Amino acid sequence: MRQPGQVIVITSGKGGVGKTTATANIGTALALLGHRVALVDADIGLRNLDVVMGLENRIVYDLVDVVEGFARVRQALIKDKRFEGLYLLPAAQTRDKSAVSPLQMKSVCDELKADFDFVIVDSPAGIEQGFRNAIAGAERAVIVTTPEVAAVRDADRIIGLLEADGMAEPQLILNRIRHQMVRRGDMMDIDDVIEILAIDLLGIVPEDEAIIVSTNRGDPAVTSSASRAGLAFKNIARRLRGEVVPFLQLDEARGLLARLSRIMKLSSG
Amino acid sequence: MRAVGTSDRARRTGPARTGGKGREEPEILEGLARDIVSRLSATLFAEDDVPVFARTRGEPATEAEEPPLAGRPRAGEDVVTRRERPDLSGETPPARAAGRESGFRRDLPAGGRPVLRALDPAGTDRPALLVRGTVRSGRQVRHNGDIVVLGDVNPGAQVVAARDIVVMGTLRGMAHAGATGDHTAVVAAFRLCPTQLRIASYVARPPEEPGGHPEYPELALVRDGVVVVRPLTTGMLSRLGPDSLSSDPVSSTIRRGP
Repeated sequence: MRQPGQVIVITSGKGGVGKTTATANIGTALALLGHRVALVDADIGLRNLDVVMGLENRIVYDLVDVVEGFARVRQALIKDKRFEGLYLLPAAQTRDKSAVSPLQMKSVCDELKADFDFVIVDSPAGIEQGFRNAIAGAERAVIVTTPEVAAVRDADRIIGLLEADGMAEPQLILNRIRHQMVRRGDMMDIDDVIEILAIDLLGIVPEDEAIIVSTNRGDPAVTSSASRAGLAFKNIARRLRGEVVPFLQLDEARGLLARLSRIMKLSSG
Repeated sequence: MRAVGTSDRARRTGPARTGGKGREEPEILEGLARDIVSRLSATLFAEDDVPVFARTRGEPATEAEEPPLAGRPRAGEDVVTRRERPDLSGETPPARAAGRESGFRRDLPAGGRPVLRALDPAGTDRPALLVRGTVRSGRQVRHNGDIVVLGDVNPGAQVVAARDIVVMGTLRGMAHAGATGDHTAVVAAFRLCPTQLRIASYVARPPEEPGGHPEYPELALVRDGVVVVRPLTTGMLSRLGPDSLSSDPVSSTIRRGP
């Protein structure tokens, strides 16, 4: 008999910081590493994860159909078009958060984790029922924030709520870091964010235009070897399964690029 | 700022009266505290802006020679750091006291100076509340006595105490000491960089200094109608003196604004 998998919720409080992108990329990266992964979109009424994964046109049943007994979990799961072992349980678009209760969500997660190594729940923004549902079945939480004061404030609130809920040691992804802005002092420093939130850092993801392209195309950035953000998400996936991976040196990449562009200039000039 | 005032106002219940002298049941005191806080908030936040608190920088010895920078912030002028001699026992030159008077509510007896109380709550019938861990955004800690936080108080969090507040970490959120009207209450923190400080009916926000907050412990108290922040040294603590205030914090008068 296989060991049950773990349920990880990706949450943030604030919207637009990259929860869905993180869910899609981490899930895909874990599948690339050979794990069986189920992604669950808990954002009922505002579903996005299927679009980011490029699976929108394959949806037949959704999470609400499952909890209301119209479909079994297996029927609602959509198999990813690229990777073996990667599945998506989509949210309903026509309903709202009240269509599911935390207890129902927990039973769905429990059912999934019997079959999968990782069940990754994409939480909606906010602290209301949608968030309550998303965390109900999870035993681990990953907080996504950007280095903005408002996002960090909301992340702090979420951490407090998770602690009150008995969630052990949430981890942090610092998304959309722009190293040059940090160096100029125009963006919050990584250390500043860590000092306020005082939780373990799971990963730092640099701002990367490739994310926008891949999101619109429904092709997670981890599938491209050229994307810096994709590499960061791959590292995060490895850390989630217990590997020790050093953090990306953001300035080093800049240095290399700068050197390259200098060489180009020299040769052309 | 407005949001805080509004939410406090929303919690407002009818006016409560008390005739006793510190003999009330804890629940009654609690209710009374809430009522007073909400009433305070309602009047305080009617003002256009929250004044900047004055901060005494550096070591007391080096500051002793410097003349005070008097004056309250003009419109559009945010950064006001008032330096003053960190002499807790001496008389305050009237110019300094008068300089900021209009920006603050004064509820001190005429000619008197604040009675400073020791941080040690010995002899009180209301034990201190110890909060372990970080007080995070959205959480409010209230206590009808002293509050000690073993951790940080983050932005968006509120700590409201009838008496003193001590933060053994970084205070970044809002702290309201002496919330039931005790203007001798103090706020001490390992690193003091609050969103806003309130002591009794006095409200202040930190000066927007480019250098940020100092890297040493500080203590905030009300002196001459101004919230003043000073480096926290053992010397100054010993000069805070014994608890000479009435045991009934509610009996302190709270005046409405002019």
